[in-house]
Amino acid sequence: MAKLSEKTKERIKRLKDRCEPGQPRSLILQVLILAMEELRKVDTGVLHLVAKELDMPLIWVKEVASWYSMIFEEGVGKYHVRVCKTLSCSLMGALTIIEYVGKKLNLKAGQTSEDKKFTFSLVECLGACDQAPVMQVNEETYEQMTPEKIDKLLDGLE
Amino acid sequence: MTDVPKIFLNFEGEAQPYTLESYRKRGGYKALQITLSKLSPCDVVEQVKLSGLRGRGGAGFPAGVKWGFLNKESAKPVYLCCNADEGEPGTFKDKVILVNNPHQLLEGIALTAYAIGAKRTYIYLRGEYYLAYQRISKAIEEAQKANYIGDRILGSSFNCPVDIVRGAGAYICGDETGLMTSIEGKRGLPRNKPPFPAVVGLYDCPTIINNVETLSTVPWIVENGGDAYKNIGTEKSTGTRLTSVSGHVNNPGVFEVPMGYPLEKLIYEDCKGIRGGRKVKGVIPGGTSTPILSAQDIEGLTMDYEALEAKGSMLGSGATIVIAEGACMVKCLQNICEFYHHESCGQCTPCREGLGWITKMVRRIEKGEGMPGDLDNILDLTRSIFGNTVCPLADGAVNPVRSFIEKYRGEFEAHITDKKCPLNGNLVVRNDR
Repeated sequence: MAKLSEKTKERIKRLKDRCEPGQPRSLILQVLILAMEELRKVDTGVLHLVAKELDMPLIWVKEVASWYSMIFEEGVGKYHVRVCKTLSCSLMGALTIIEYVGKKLNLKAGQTSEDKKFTFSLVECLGACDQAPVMQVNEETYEQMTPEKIDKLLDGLE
Repeated sequence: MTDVPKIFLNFEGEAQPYTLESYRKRGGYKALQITLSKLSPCDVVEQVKLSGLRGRGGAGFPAGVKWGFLNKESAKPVYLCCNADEGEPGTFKDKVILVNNPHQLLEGIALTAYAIGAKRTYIYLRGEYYLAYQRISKAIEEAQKANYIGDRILGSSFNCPVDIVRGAGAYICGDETGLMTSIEGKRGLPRNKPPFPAVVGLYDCPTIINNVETLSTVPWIVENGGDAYKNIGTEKSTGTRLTSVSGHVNNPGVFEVPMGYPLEKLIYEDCKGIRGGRKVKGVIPGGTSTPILSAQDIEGLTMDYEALEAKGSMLGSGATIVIAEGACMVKCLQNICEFYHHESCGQCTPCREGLGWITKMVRRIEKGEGMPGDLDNILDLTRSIFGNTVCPLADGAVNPVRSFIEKYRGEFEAHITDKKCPLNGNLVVRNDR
């Protein structure tokens, strides 16, 4: 059964305190973001948890969780590797980087490794186009990526 | 153009420009102090109207005029939203303000909230901007402690609570109505306009939404006067603006330039020319939603709203993407189409289905499986899409489709006729120096 840590509960409380009176629905996405950060998965159990926490209809929580691309109902691995595929990065070799990461992790875009260590995703413009090609792993952004830098980065992840 | 001030990039050489200490040393929060002690909200609105400041998110609507649309008869509270959902491909200039100059944004927010009588402000920040989230959170903390935002600012009766609302990976939440709907905790589906947000906005209350760069301009305007701002740039495009340059240039980055700055100067001087010494093939001037310009189009072109419009394009979000000879334009268009199709919120049939269909056709052409009549089909389809949707995302997708096919038609036809790409689907240009 999914549970949220005291730290997350504290953050939710602060959000509730700051919420505009009469607008509790506003917290649905913000709480889902916190749940995703901590649990790395927003499955049905988590949806129920959030709905209960905010006293909101389950469907309101489900419709938000299913629409925003950074909320993953199927969950993500320990390291979520996201490579930008949009124009400026592609002009600077993103396609080579995408191929290299895929081969290295032995994953197709959208897949998670068996041991749940890595999830590999392709994402849209991350807003770092002058440092293309760009990728993110969890909350860190990595710029001007090359196969060598990818080796160093991914090999160094426990 | 020797004395053009740096309104945003005013922290050169500073080790930690994002701290309150650094901002204060640069004269920060002076405008707020002057305003709260001497100026009325109307005074601030007047200066911003006089300045001619136009929205820097992409639409370029005059900020002072937008503020004037607020329904003053309403008994409902007024909200201010800061659009920090920077997501237009090629755009990364708001990030520079958020990460390196967050206090200037906060001061702009406080001044704007004062001017429009906002009850509170929400900064809608895209989920992928992690460092910006840390910096703006810290800045809010510092500013609150120093009484520049929050309750009873600087001893006045003016309250300006500021909260961050985080996005979670949806480009369409950068649309002002999509943004508000997302703040309300729903799917960020855009709404029809009218009613405009200034009349019916967040929580059905009068709301002003402004871009990060727009709000960050307000302190300078208040301190120096709307007239001084108007004296920079051109008649209809006043002030300076941040432009993000990427693609096949040697020195990509964010540059602050006065409106009316020559595009060729930006590319060949500031950005040190094209990689490998190649020729320009195309320049997307204001983010991928703007029609592409050919090498001929950019000759003598200045970066201001009127000049770009005259060339059939737009200044947009100020994101300049440079594409050099050697890159396949069909593949570029495919990349752009996939972006818009992916980011479509899905509520309007012409966008949801139409962009999907166009993307399929462009993909086929790129692979060498194009059919005669494809190009006319695509263009015909754009006519069913453009202007027929709730929000301008679809229009923004149609612009590159039409302009790429118009200006590089030969390349598209070669893919169809020869059943392959004459450039082998290449997008990259080496920097052989």
